[in-house]
Amino acid sequence: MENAITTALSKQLILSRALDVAANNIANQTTAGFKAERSDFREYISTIATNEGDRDVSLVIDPDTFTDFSAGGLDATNAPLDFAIDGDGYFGLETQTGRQYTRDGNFQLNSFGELTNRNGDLVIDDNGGPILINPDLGPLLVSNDGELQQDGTPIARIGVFVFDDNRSLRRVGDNNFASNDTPEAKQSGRIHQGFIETSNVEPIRAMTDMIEILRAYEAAGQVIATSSDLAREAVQRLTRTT
Amino acid sequence: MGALNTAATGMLAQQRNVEVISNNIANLNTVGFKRQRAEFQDLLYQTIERPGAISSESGSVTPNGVQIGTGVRTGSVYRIIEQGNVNATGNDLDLAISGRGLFRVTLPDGDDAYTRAGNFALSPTGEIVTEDGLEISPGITIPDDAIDISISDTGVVEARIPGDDDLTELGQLELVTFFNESGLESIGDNLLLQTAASGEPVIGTPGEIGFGTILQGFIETSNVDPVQEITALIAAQRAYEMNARVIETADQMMSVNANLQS
Repeated sequence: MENAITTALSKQLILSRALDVAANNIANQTTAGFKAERSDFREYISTIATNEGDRDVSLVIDPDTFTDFSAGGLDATNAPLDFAIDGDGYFGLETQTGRQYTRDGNFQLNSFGELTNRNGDLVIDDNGGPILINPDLGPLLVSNDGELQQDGTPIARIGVFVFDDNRSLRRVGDNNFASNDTPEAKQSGRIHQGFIETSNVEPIRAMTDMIEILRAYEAAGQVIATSSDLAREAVQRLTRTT
Repeated sequence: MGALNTAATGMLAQQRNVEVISNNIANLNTVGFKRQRAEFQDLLYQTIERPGAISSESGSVTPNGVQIGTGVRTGSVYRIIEQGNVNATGNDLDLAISGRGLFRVTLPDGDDAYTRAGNFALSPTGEIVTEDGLEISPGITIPDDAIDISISDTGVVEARIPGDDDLTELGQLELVTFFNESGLESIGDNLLLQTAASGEPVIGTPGEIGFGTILQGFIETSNVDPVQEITALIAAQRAYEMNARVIETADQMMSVNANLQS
């Protein structure tokens, strides 16, 4: 009987974590370049009760969370320093804590004329160097393969980094990913200027996920309530003397 | 239940989003106004199980791990420096900049401020001033008997003085650009201030390389696109509601346990 409660409880614990994941997706539905997180459950067969004839108890344990790396939509901002990658790959950033990668191409110039993200981290070109832009030389244009041009003169190629396995990327916040793998700088897909990649969270899907989580949680709560009712009834019946 | 806090950060972010959008809509008809846009960033992740952790005695590893996000914050609200439309007004002292650059004006405390709003007027003593009476810098004084003020596309201010056949040159308008124009600080009244992020001002005359030209008798309208703003407003409102639903769901889940009878 206790097993039913433990099993249901293990499910509730995991569902509450799944809700945390859904909540983070919903909170980030307007975050540029955000990639939705998904959770998966695993079954865990407990071997704690090992007496002859005991049945294995099946519990739910930690969900894996994994990132949905599918592309988001493109949102036109018409800002000359907003870029979106249509295809594979990430922009490279030189941050205080080392190289990071992002799909959020909302860039700016710092007071030295270097291209940075909004936190001031340098955006790097395909060789890993900073990108210097002098606005006095005329409007900045970017070709589809990421070559930045001013007045018809190429000045740099914005770095697009492609990983063999996107799963080596881990989230570090601020729309960035870090990885222990070294990606390859290559021309992949097209660079669009004046666009930002929107979050790939599908709000409708996130809402239905959430409803499912709630119902499953209530069902598990029902199991706990029923088991405890049964236990109470057993006590009452067995202690009845007449 | 981190979901409660996560959803609260989501609601806060959408509230900020609505504030930015409503300010854009409110300034639909503000001369020289540049629309703003809020950008968001995800917050830190709680790593509960690292990708690559060993998951069994035989040494297999988890491919994904468990990372749970804690919400969102407003990363920046930046100005989109896109040319607004120019509207003909026929007024001699309405100046629009076509291209890059800002007018420089002197604040009452002597500091410089910058503006795209070129709807100028004359002060009682004949100086060219903004709507709020701030003098443009370098100052240009129009004699009170002058008729026919003419300002060329390179910013040369001339006027016809009665009794003189030729135009009299009264001054030269200057424009200012910044390396990072988005980094200027808004102080209201269409005015912007220099900051550490914007870099030092670069002074030039209209028509020079890197500077726009002056259109006399025109004003630059705001670059707000009402249709875009209204759709953004609808999306922000829905996102806000969805975050509120997360709070409701977390609350319902907690009530399942709270109402268990022992």
